[in-house]
Amino acid sequence: MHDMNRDTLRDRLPDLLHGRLAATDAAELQRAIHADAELSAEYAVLRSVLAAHRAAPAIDISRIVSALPPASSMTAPEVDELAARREAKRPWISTRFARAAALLAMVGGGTMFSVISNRSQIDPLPTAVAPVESLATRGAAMELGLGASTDDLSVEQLRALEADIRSLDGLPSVEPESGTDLFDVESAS
Amino acid sequence: MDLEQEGLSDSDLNIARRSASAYQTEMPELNRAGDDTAVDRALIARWTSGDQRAASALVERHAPSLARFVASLGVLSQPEEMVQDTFVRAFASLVSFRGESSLRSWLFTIARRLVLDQRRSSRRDKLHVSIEDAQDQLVSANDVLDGVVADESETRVRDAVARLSPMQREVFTLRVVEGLSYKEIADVASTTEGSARVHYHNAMRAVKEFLDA
Repeated sequence: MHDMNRDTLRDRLPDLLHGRLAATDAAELQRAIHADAELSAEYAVLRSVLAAHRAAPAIDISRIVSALPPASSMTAPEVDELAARREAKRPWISTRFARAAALLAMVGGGTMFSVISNRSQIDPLPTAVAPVESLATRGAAMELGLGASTDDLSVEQLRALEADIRSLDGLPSVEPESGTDLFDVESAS
Repeated sequence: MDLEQEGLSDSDLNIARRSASAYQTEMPELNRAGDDTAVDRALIARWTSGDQRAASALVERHAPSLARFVASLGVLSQPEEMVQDTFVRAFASLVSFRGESSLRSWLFTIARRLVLDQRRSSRRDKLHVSIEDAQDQLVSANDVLDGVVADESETRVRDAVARLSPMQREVFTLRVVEGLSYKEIADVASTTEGSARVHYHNAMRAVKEFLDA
């Protein structure tokens, strides 16, 4: 306790008050109290608080005891068996949690791997896609969506794609026009 | 139950084999030795083996502290009922008590929960004093303490503690009056050791300021 600063010493004053310090620590703290007026004053306050609160409300011990359940009807072997069961249950529980955690890790890891590997192949998709009229167009759009170049498209597919792109011009914007309050019914009407 | 398997010394074993009155005779020496936990474990072992006198000894050991504690939480009328409920609950599951915390802090935890439950249930009819509203009433809590002739200085000290915030008062009381460690206080009050330490020192400062004023 030689290296204890005042805060640590103050922390241990209640322990000294209740006789919960080892003899050497208690003696050391007593010396510190005698040498330090502030510590001494604080210890005096603690003693006065303890003295003022030591008395307990009246309690009828026998009445409390009479309300208790009877002494355990379990025999000693039964108590030991209960303790053994409890101990045996813990590893089982931890094993179960370990298995669940491993399963979650496997499923989660697989899903993450799948998502990451898909993302590496996919270019950003267009936010709006025109209605696809033909299988050829659909095929072209899908191919484009999957990141293929237009080099592989046939002339017909390119024409269909061009038509689809033109039809996109007529689609409404996803974002509302600036200055329009969607919730202002009167101005909208 | 095989007491040796519980890690008890021969001394504890001998104590556990004695009657409740014999336990009480041994208590001062054991308390000075800081052997509270071992004695409690021995008594629990005796009770689980069918010795009802061990229950009496356990109640005698902890009832006064519990009564003080529930009174400090604002249970000013019939704290004995709360103490009794605490012991009934505790003994109902004493067989499964693992001893991971001390019996004393376990009892305090049960008592605290009961007080909070009662406060919640009685909020509607306002028949009970809530912890938050108990400060003023606690100033006059001396009435509850039978056999106490409090002089002026003691009354002033009680007033100083009663004026603390509920959390400060709870931590301060457990630390100073009951001698619990910060770890035990954290367990009882559902907080952290660091927070308990801060509450204690703030309470100490407030008490000193009140007494010096």
